[in-house]
Amino acid sequence: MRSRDRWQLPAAALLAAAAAAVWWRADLFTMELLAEVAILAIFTMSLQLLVGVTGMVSLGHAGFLAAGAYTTAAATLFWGWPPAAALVLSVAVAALLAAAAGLFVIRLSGVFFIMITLAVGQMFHAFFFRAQRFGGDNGLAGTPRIDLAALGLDSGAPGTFAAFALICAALVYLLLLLVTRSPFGMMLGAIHQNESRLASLGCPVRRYKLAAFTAAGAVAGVAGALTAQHTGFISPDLAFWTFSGEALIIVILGGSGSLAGAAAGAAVFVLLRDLLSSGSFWSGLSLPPELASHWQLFMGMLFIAVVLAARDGLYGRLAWLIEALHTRRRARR
Amino acid sequence: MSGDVLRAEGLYKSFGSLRVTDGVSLRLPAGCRHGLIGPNGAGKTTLFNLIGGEVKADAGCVFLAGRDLSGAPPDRRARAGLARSFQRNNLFAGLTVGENMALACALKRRIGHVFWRRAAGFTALRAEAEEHAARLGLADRFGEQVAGLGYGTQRQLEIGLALLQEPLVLLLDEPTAGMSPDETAAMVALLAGLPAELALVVIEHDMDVVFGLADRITVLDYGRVLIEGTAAEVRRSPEVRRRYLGAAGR
Amino acid sequence: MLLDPGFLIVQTLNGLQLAALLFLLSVGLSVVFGLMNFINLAHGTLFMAGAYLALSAVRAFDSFWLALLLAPLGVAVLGGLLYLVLLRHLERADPMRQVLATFGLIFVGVEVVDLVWGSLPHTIAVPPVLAGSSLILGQVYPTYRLFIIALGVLLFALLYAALERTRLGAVVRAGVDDRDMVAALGINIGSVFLLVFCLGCLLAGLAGAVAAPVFSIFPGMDLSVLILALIVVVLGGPGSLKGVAAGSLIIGVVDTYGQVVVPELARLTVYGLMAAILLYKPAGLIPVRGAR
Repeated sequence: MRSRDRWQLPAAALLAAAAAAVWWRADLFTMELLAEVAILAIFTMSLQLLVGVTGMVSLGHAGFLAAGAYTTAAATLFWGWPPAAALVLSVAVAALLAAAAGLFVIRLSGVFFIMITLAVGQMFHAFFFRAQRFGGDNGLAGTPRIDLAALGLDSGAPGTFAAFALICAALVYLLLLLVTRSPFGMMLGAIHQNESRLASLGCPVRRYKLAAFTAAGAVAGVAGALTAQHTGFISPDLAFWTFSGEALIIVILGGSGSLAGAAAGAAVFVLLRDLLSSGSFWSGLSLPPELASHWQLFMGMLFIAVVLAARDGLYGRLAWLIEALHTRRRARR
Repeated sequence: MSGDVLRAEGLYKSFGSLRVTDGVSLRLPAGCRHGLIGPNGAGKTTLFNLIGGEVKADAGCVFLAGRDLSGAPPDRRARAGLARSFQRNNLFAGLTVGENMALACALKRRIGHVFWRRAAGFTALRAEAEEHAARLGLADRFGEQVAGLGYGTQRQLEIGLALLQEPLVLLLDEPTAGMSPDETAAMVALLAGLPAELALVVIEHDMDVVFGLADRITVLDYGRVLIEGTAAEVRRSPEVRRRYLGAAGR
Repeated sequence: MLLDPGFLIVQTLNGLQLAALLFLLSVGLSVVFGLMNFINLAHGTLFMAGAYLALSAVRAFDSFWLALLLAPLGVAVLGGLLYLVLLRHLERADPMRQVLATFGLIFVGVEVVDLVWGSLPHTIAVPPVLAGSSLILGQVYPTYRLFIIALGVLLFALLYAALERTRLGAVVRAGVDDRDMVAALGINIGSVFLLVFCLGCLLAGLAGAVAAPVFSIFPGMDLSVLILALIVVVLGGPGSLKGVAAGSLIIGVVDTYGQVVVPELARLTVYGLMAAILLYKPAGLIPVRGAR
C-alpha cells in the first residue's frame, strides 16, 4: 500500500480533471450534483484524516458538520454576517466543539470509541432537534450564498457555485495532503499502527489525537458551512448518526488512508444515489421504475458489499490502473 | 545529591492478589552496564514497565537525571531521556525500516508536531535515518516494509529505534532473544560499542551475554531483589547458585 | 404536576412498560456484545421484523397469541441465517467493519419491510382479554401495558434462572468473563455463539411483537429503539443480565419522565449519560466480574 503512495497526486489530478470536464459540459441539474459531490468530498476527506490515517473510527462526525451548518445559518440569518465571515466562524465553532468533545472521547479506543462518538453526535442531533431558536425539527431556511460580486460572478448560478465548491474541495485536499505528508501526519499514521510504541519513543499520543480530532472537526465545519450555503436549508438530520455511518462507508469505499480515494468515494456515492433513485435508470434496465423509490435497499446491499470486499478501495483500483498504464508505456519505449 | 542518572525507589506493583514487584530499588550511575536476571516470572519485564511508565506503580518513585518522573506517562519519560526495547518486537509493521527510523528521529528532534512542512523536506531526518541504518547493518533494508523482514532483522530494528533516541538510560528487554548465534554476536558487538556515558540495563537469559557485558548485576526473584553486586559477587553468591542458577540447570 | 400521585403512578407505570420492552430488546444485544465484543446495529431491525411478522400472523390466523409465538420464532430463524451468512465472516474483522456491515443491514431491512408491507403505518388490535383497563393503585391503566410489564419481569426471572442453572448459561457466563479460556476448554464456541445469537434475536422479535399493539408499525421504527437499546447496553455493562435490567429501568423511567417534565432536554440527557458512563465506568454500572 505504501509503495502506491506516489500515485496519490496523479489520482487526485485525474479526479480534478474529470470534475473539470464534467463541469464544462454540465446542465443545471448536474451542476447541483457536482456541488454536492464537492461538499461531501470535503466532509469525507476530513473523516479520512481521522479514520484512515489516525485510526479513530468516529460514528458522530456529522455532528461537527451540522455545527458548521447551523453556525453559518445563525450568523447570516440572525446577525446579518456576510457568508464568507460566517464560513470562518463556522470553522472556528466546529473546531472548538471538536476540541471540547475530543478531550473526552480520545480516552477510549476500539468499539468504545465508536460508541462514544455516536453518543456525542447524537447529542448534537438532540440539541438541534429541540432548539426552537434554530427551528427545532423543522430546520432553518434561507441561508444566503457567498457573495462573489467582487469577481463579477453570481454564486446563485448553479455553475458558479459548483465551481466555488470544487475549488474549496481542491484547497481542502491540498491542505490535508500537506498535513498527512508532514511530520505530524507521519505521527498520526504511526498512532494508527502502534500507539503504545510511539508513546515509548516520546510522542505525546493523546495530544496528537486531540489535534487530529479537532482538525477533522474544523474541516467538517467547512463542509457544513458550504452545505448551508448550497441548499439554503438545514435540519437536524445533518447531525443524525446515519449520515456519519454513510460517510464512514464512503471512506472505506475510497480506500484506507487515501484522501483522493475519499473524494472519489463521495462522487461514486452521490452518482449511485442519483442513478438508483431515478425511474428512468430502472426502466432502462427493463425493470419496474417503482424500484427507484427503494434505492436505499440497493444502497444498503452495496454498503455491505463494500465493507466485505473493499480492501484498498477505489484508490487501490485507481493506483493499479495508473501503474498498469505507466508500466505499459515504459515497456513500449 | 548523587551522580545516579536513574534512581528508582521502593517500587511496588500487584496484579490482583499477585505481587509482582515487591519493593524494588535500582540506582544507575551514568555509564553503567547493568544486568537484570532472574527466573521467569521474577518481575523483570514488569520492573521495566514500571520504570518506563507503561504500567503505573502502586507505590515508589522514579527519578531521571534528578527529575521526578513518578506517575509521568511513558512519552514524558522518553523525552526526559529514557529509552527501551521490548521483549517482543514492537514496531510499526506497515512502514518501511526507514520510516520507522524517521519517526524516532523526528520525535528526538521535537518536530513531530510540524504540520505545515512536508516530512520529505527535512533532509537531515532522512540523512540521520540512513546513517543510523548503516550503523545497525540495515542499510540494504532501508526501503523494505518491516512486516516482511525476518525475525532477527526486526529485532535489530527494535533495538535500533531505542538507540536512535540517544537516551541517557537505555533499558533492553532480552535483546538477543530468538536470534541466531551470528546475530547474537553482532548484537553483543553493537552493545559493546554504545556511548560510554550511557546507562544501560539489560534483561537477558543468555548468561554469557550478561556476564560478558555487565559490570553490575541485579538478581530478581519473586518480585524482590535477591542480590545486587558485581558479576563476580553474583557468581559466588551461594543463594543465587541455589535459587537461580541451580534451578535453571546450570 | 409532579406532586400529583395519580400522575406519578401513571408515568411510573409508563416508564416500567418502556423498561420491560427495552429489557427484551437489549438482552440479545448485550450478551452478544459481551460474548463476541460485537455491536450489531441491525438489532433494531430484528425488533421491527418481529412487529411486522406479528402483523402478518395476526392477519393470517386472526390470533394475537399465535402471533406472539410465531413472530419471535421467525425472527430467531432470520437472525440465525444472518449470523451464518454474514456476521460469522466478520468475527475477526476490525470493529469498524463489523459495525458498518450491520449498518448496511438497517437500510436493507427498512426497504424490505417497505416492499413487503408498504410504507403506511399499521397497528395490531390488543387481544380481547387484555383490551380493557384495570384499576391499579387507584388509577385506571390499560391492562395490556400491565401485561407488558409482567412479561418483562417474567422473562428476567426465566433468563436469570437459565443463566445460573443451565449448562449453556454457565458457558455464556464463562464466555463473557474470558472467551479464550472457554475455547481452550474445548467447548465449541461457534455453536454457542449461534445459539445465543438466535436467542437474542428471538427476544428482540418478542419485543417487537409485544410492542406492536402499543406503537405504530412503520418502516424505520427500528432506528429510535436501536439507539435506546445501545444506551441500555452501555449503561448496564456489556454481557450483564442484571445490568441490562438495571439499564432498562433507568432509561425507561428517565426517558418517560424526561419527555413529560423537561421535553426540551429529553434525549440530550440520555446521550450525555451514555457518554459519561463510557468514560468513567466503561464496564457499565453492573460490570461483569473480570471484564475490563
